[in-house]
Amino acid sequence: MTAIIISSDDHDACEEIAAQVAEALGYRCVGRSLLKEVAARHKVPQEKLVRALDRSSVRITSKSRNLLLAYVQAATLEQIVEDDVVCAGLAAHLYIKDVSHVLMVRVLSDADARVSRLARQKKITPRKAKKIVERERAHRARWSVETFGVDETAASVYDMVISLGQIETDKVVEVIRDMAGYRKFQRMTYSRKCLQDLALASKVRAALLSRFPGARVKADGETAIVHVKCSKRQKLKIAETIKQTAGEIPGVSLVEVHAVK
Amino acid sequence: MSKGLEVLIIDDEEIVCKRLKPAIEKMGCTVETFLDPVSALRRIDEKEFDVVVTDVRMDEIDGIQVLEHARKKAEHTKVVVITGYAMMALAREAMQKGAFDFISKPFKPDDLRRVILRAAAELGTSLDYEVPAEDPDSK
Repeated sequence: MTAIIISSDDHDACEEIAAQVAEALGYRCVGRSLLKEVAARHKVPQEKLVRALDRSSVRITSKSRNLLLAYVQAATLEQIVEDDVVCAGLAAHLYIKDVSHVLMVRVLSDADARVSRLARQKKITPRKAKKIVERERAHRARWSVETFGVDETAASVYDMVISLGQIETDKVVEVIRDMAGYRKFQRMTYSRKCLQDLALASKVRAALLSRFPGARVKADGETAIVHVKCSKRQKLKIAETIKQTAGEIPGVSLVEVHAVK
Repeated sequence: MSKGLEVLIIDDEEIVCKRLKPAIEKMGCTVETFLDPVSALRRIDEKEFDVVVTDVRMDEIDGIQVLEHARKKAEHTKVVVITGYAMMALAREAMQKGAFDFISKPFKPDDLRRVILRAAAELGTSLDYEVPAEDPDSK
C-alpha cells in the first residue's frame, strides 16, 4: 500500500498522469476537485484556494495565503492517510516529509513543447515564451521556499524525477505504477503513524492559524504539541485558548503549549 | 484448534523483553526472548521461527543484520523491526531487505499484536485473539 504524490511544472500534465496512474493501480485520485469541499467546509471562495496554490499574490495577503494553504493541507492529508491514493495539484510534495510509504514523483514538462504551446496561445515569439516559462519556474521555486521552506524544483525533494521531454506519458505512467510496487514504498506501522501525526497536526494548525498565525504544530499519537510566540504574561491565557480549540479536534486527547520568544 | 506462532524477540533492553513476552504469549504464541543478538542468531540457526521481533541498535550485531540472517535462514519468517531511532531511510532499508513491518518505540502492545495477527494470516495460521480495532476518530 502506497501513497503517490505527483508534482510537475506543468499542471495539466500532472493531473493527467495522476489520473492515469490511479486508474492503472486501482487507486483513488485526489486533485483540485477537493478544493470545492475545502471551500464549503471553511466558507471561503474556491477561487482563493486556487490562487493560494497557484502561487499568485494578486489580491491575497501572505497571512490569508498561509491560512488557506493550511485548510488545503489538512484536507489533503485527511485523504492521503487512507492509503492507495494518487495526489496531484495540492502541493502535497511540499508538506509531506519523511513518510517512507509516500512515493514522491516530479514530472518535468517537455520544455520545448511547453514554450511552443505558450507562444501559440499568447501569439508571442518563442523567445518571449521561453522567458515567461523561465520566470515562472524561478517564481515557483521562490514561492515554495517562502511558503514551505522547500525548493520544489530541487531533485532531492523527490524519490523519482522523470522528464516528459525524454519519456512518453504512457511510459511515465508505467514507471510510476511499477515503482509503487517497490518494497521500500510499502506502508508499515511506523510510516502510517508518521502520516497520521502529520494529518492530526495539520488539522490542529488549521484550527489555530486564524488566531495564532505563527503557531507551529506537531503531533505524536493523540498529543498535539503547539509552539506559539507570546510573552510569559500572556502564556497562561493563550495556552488555555489553544488547549480548548485543539482539544475539540477528534483524535486529540492532550495538548502541550510551549511559548517561544 | 488454532496453532500458535513461534515468536522470537531480541532486544538488549530487558524491560522490553519482559513486557512483550507475556503480551504475545497471551495470543497463544510460544515466545523466546534474547538480550544478546549473537545468541539469538545461534538460536535462529537451530530453530525456524514464524516471527522474529528485533531491535535495531544493539551491540555487536544490529537488527538489520538479524533481519538479513533470519530471512536467509527461512524465507517465510516474518521479521518485525522495532527501534527507538526510527528514520525514513532506516525504515526503507529494512523494508527493502525484507522486513515484514517496522515499528517505532514507544509503542503499545496492541500495535505489535496487530502485526503478529497479520503475520499469522499471511502464514496461514489463525490465532484465537482479537485486538480492538483502532478508533477511526482517534485520528
